[in-house]
Amino acid sequence: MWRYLALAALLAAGLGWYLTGAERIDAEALGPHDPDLANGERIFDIGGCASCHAVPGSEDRHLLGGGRRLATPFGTFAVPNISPDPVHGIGAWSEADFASAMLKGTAPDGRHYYPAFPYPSYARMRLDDVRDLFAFLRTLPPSDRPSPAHEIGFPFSVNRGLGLWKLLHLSPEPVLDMADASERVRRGQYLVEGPGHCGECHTPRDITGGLDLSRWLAGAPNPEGEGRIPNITPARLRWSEADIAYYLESGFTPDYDSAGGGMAAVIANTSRLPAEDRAAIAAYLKAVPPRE
Amino acid sequence: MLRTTLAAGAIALATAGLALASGSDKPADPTDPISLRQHLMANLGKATGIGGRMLKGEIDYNPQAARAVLLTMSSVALGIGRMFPEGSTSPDSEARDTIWTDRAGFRAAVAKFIADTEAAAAQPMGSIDEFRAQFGAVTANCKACHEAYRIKKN
Repeated sequence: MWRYLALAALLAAGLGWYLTGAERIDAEALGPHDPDLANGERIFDIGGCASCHAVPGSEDRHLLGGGRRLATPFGTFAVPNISPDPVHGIGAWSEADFASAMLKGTAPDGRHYYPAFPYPSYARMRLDDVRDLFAFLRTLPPSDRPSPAHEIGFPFSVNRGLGLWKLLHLSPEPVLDMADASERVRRGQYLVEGPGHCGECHTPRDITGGLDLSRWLAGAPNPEGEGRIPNITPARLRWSEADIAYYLESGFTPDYDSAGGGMAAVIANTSRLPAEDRAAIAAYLKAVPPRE
Repeated sequence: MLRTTLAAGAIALATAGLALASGSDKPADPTDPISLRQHLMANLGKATGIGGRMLKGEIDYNPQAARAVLLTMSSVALGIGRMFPEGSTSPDSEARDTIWTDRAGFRAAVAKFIADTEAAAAQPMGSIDEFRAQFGAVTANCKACHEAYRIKKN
């Protein structure tokens, strides 16, 4: 009897250990790739990498020494250095390390990243885009600024717990089923749901801290404190496609109010995109289901 | 002459068609700094809209109207810094607390807005491309200041 119980306990522990483990992308699975640096820069801009990783106060959006601090209900996250510095940045990373971080939320040492790094969105990215982005990041200037540690209290400090969180919230599947939509809408879907990670702020979160996908883009409290992030489904966003595209280019609403708060940093990224990508985002936002 | 009249008419229509920002749909209260700055910002948005519509080709380019846009922006810049006295907050106000906690930064942003708009309004504006450059330089102030000192409430 005791032997069976012990065996069951061992199996449960083994299962728990297995479920909370971190997935990686194997180097062998990558195959040959001829990187497209121009596409890598496009992904860099839609991904908003500079908004978090650029050195605060620096004029250079390509100096990715990190150092910003993100205060959240789960703790304070210190944005790491992702410049090509081999010691303090990611200069010593392999392409598989980078793909594992972006698509699986897994660090080179096998630990889970906290989803303050928006990998639940990046997990929907195409592998080739991730590889182009990696090649582009390698062309940027190194920064020798050390990455400080996060300040996170128990129980969120238990890294393996994130393995369970990922079982709930990490999937490469698109949020909406839009297989029959136009090519432009589907391009917008990819940009918004994947690299653009718009849902990370514009979608409310459930009690586990994951996005409530039944209220996709329906607006949420501002993660940085005061105010609200607006609902951008057709239930509330009544702008034309041209208005949305112009907003993403200029920061001006149809009333010529100017984007504020975190969105001003987003506009600094979207203003650099090709016009067709802004038009695609606009087309997608007009096509998503209205939600309150 | 006809073109100028048409442009003026289009500007008037564009202005009339603009929605008012929150808080500014009531008449301005001369004793309330929140009400005054909300009306000032609403006017700034309308003036900016005239410039933006000319640049997008939605209304004809008119150099005098272009200069009026930049002079309006300059006038707002000259007055706005005094409209955020300590404690002037309300549930409706979108002023962020950083205006008061980072007083020096806010003053510097206002000073830059004044300098940029005065310089821009004094430049030649005969062609739409000349206006485009000036408009771009001054509207960069909108984004910079709103990023640091404004919280969207709705």
